Amino acid sequence: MTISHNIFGSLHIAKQGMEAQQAGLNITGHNVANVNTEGYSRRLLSLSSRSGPPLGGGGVEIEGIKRYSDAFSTSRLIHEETLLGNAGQRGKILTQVSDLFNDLEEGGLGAVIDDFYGAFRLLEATPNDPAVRQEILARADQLSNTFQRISQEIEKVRANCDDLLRGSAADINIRTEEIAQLNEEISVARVQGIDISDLLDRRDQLIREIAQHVKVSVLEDDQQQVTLFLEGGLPLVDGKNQSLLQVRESAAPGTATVEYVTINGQVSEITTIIQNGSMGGVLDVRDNLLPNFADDLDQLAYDIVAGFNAQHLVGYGLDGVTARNFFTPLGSSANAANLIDLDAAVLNNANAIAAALDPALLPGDNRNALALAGLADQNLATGGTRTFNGAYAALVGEVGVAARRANDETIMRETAVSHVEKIRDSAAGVSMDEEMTNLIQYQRAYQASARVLSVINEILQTLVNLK
Amino acid sequence: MRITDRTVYRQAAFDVGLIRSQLFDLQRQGATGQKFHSLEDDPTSAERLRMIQEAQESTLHYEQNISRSRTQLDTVDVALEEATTIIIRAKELALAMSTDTISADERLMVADEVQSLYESMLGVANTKAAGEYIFGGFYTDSSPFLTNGTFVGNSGEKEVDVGPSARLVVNVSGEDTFTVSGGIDIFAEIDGLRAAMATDDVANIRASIDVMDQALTQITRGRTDAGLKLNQIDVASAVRTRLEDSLTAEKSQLLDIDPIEVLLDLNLTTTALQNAIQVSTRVINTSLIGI
Repeated sequence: MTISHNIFGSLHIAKQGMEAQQAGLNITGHNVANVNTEGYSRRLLSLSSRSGPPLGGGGVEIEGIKRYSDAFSTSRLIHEETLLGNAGQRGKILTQVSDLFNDLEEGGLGAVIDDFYGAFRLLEATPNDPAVRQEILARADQLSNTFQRISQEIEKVRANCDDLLRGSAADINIRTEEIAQLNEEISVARVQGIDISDLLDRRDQLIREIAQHVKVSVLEDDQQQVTLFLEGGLPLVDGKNQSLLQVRESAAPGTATVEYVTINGQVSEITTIIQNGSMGGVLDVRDNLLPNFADDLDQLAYDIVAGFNAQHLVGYGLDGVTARNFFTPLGSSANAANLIDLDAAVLNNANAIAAALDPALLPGDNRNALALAGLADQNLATGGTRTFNGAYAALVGEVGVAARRANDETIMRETAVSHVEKIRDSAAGVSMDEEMTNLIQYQRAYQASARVLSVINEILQTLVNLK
Repeated sequence: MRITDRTVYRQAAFDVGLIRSQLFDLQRQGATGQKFHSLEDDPTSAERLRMIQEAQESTLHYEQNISRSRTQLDTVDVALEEATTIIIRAKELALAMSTDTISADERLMVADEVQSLYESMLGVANTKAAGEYIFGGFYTDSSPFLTNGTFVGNSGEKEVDVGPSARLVVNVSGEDTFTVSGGIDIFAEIDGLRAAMATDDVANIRASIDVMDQALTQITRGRTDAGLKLNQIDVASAVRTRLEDSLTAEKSQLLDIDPIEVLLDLNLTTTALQNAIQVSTRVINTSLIGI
């Protein structure tokens, strides 16, 4: 049996050992450096032993780098982020809206309606008191101003929603562009045999960020190329091709539409297709909830105008004139909250307020004032089922419940995301304890291989110095 | 489950954050005395609160109507008391002057006093309260009785709301109290007495005595009416006060915190926060890095 073991082969084995452990140190360093990187999956060096000449091994071989990612939690996270994005966005917008209806603060519409009716109760007692009549005009003015203010604030929130949509579309486009680039880089790197873990991590992270805005489904092929689909099966990224989302302005604020642009430049409107994620949340509030609230407000304003005018028309002012409207009459409830206004006949003419029912009984006849004040207690709102204040209180409740529901859901979704993140971290997260242990492990192994190298070097020395 | 550093930090932040949020709520409750501050904190209570606030506002308006009406009816009462005094005096004079031993000259002098009684009665019938004539029905801005005793007022009954579904008549009819619709024309009768005094008409002076009794009854009827209405106002006022109290209590129950409960919770939660922070710090500081 010949010992054909090459002394230089032994050197080589030692050298490989040191290189391998050094690679391990690098990876440990990489893990530690990225402990706080969002979406980072920890890496582990994958080593295997090399087979070599009959009496010994061939050293160690670096097989590759193992990336610890958990496919289940990754896809679960995408799902939960979309739900959270939806609830969170709804909650934010609705909280703004509910501030408009908060009667715990001054100047709420409810208190203003109360004051308006209150002035008529005073008119009962002194129908020809000019101060009371002026007070009624002032309160009516405040009523119409408050309706207008709330109506316009709701419009502002709607217009704000368009900005939110624009922001989301821009965020998505930036990310889909990067994903398309990553797809290309990944395919090139695979061919060259370069480690793509960082690229994969980055791509997963981008997808997760997009999922906050819209619902996406991810399809990965066996070349590790990802196709990202929007709701309705529209591809946002296909290989290295990106499709854009854009938001088209409309003349009226709060009516912008969302459009999808194919790679050939074809544009189609997808506003109603987007129902999930934060964009879906914005659209739900903007196109369903807010119009309902605005309609209810308009209906209330209209009911007040109609109910009040009907009674006012039969009464007589201090000047003996009848058939006057108190509010400018409105044909329908459309935009009533913005249009509610004192009629020209009564504006600046407090004597025109019709407190009497019989011109022969002026100025003390207060019977129409009694009737007008009594309107507050009649069911003249919501199709004859509620009082004015009852209708307002119901609207307040409606807004509050919607906001509350969104906020409660947000908390629930946050907990769900947190839970899935823990699962993901358990598989893919970096543990300092582990890395420190690995550090020591690789360091010691490196030192040992270096020692082997040193010993072989001495042997070589001995051989070379043989006389 | 494999626990990584991020999980530890995130959980610590989450747990501490949760307690901080609870603490913040309690802090706000303690500072403002209110259980909730915005609509979405408790939408059902907010809706109920709005209804309570409307009712509370109404009680204030009713209060004003009650107080005003009471003043008016008090004025009616005082005026009719004065009217009673006048009639009693007129009757006294009639009695005194009906004896045969009185001379025509004496009667002539008393006629002057009866005239001033007439003028006083006119003043009473044209009394104003807070700038409005109280015996003229709906004609509140002009004297209901002319100098010659003719009634030019109106017999309208004026109602005001003094409570939810509580509407009361708050005036007394001048027509029924002073004119023939109530039985006799008081002014005509007083003037008749004066004339009888002036013309030494003993028969008519004697006849006036009974008439003055009737006048007294008529005016007393008016006073009773005012009295009854004042009673109704008192009842309405008591009801209003009870309603106001009940609304205040209901609002308080809905909105106000129990300060002791909040204080206890604050203590508990603050302790929980301190504990959570301590535990988190200890866990975070323990790792192999120092080795």
